[in-house]
Amino acid sequence: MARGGRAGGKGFHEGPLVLFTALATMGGGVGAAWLLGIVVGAAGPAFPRPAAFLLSALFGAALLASLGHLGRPFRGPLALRRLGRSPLSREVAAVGAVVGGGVVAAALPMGSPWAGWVGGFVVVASLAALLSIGLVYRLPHQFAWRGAAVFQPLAQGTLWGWVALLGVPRLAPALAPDLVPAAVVGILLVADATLFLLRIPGRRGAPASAAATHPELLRFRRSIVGARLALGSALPAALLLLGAGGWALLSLSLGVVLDRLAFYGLGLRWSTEGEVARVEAFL
Amino acid sequence: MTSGAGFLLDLARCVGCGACVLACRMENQLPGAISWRRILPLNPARSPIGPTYHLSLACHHCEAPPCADACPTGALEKRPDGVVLLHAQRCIGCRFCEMACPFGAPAYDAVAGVMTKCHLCAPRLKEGLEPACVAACPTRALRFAADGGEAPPSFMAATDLPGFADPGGARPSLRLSPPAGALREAALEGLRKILAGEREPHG
Repeated sequence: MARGGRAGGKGFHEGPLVLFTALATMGGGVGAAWLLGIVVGAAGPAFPRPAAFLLSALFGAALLASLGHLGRPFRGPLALRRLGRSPLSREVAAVGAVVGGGVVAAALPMGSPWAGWVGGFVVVASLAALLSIGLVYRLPHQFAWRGAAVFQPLAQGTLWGWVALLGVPRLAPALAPDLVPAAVVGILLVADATLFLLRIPGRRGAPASAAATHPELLRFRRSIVGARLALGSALPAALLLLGAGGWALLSLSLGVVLDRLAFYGLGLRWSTEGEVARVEAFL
Repeated sequence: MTSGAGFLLDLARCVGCGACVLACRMENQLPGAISWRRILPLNPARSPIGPTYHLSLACHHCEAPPCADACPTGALEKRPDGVVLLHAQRCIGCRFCEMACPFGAPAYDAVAGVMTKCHLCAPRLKEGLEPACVAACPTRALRFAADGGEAPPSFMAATDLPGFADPGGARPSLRLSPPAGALREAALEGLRKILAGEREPHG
């Protein structure tokens, strides 16, 4: 395996991004899960106010966390300048749209004729946000951040949102749990775990010119991946079977954070240093 | 060969003295933790099978710069003369260009909170001078080709040599002189074949 070289050794500056994407994944999941509820016939089009509050709070906190990663946070709005070209601009726009829609949905009076429209907007924006979180880092020289793995935040977020809506009855009183097929949770759990494993290539399976983005974290690869699968997949499944929805949600939340830590911390990328080491291996 | 502005590196001449790195730091008054140019030794252990080279590398001022494509604020601009220029006043310090560049060119200035990168000594170019790193090179290993200028025929696109894959199709403007001599050419060809059999970044 190639040496870490220039790609590594700069400290883990992605900490605020872990928080940003984790919170946005959970918030987007609430919207995506509501759409799933409509699809399976367990929910109506109007977004419930408590869920809209939660979604707005999560996305608002996510946006604040993202500012922590910027060297010049007061210039943050400039990130919307290249909506047509930059995937990062699109991600910021999608997250901003959800925050706006969520606030409006939460503020609408009960029984408002606009509830359905606003709810629809929030759901669509949530889906766009979840997709953009996966797509933003789809860079050609990054080995771990592309392929089907770009849909993983969508799967994980929907799972989190679904368990939140089912496990906390006050969030979505209009949801009819008796109409919810149990298989939905199982499918989401399997999809999320599978996409996560696709995203974490084995060291032996990586190209010779791959260099670790954070070599210092790569030493803990097994522990991070194991903890992510345990807290984000296995334990929630067991807790849901036992009927402990609240605990399952807590475990899933920790799993989302660990997932994002694994995303940034276990990245593998092509680098000139790696390529040079690959050449040297044949000399 | 005619192309946009960029660096030429003669592998047979570079001795890895570091004068280019120092000149760049002085010219651009870079703080201690930041360096826009670096020297990568190839085969520093002096394996007898191959020669030892020194690769003096900075921003390649790619034809399709992924850093500029990724930038959400438009702070990075590919100028018509080929220079990839960073407008610091538009930079928000999100470091996405650092993630998007396969060649490790953009460097983050933690004090200023913005990215920095090689600008081919644009102010010097304006005065008709060569970039500082090129001017400081004692062996003339590092040269500069202006926009539309001719490079000597011995130089080829860096990505045609092992060690300079172009995983994102950025088309770096760096040109290198390939190893000279029949033995070295044969070794290079052998190396190319071996590496071509391996899994490539897109594979």
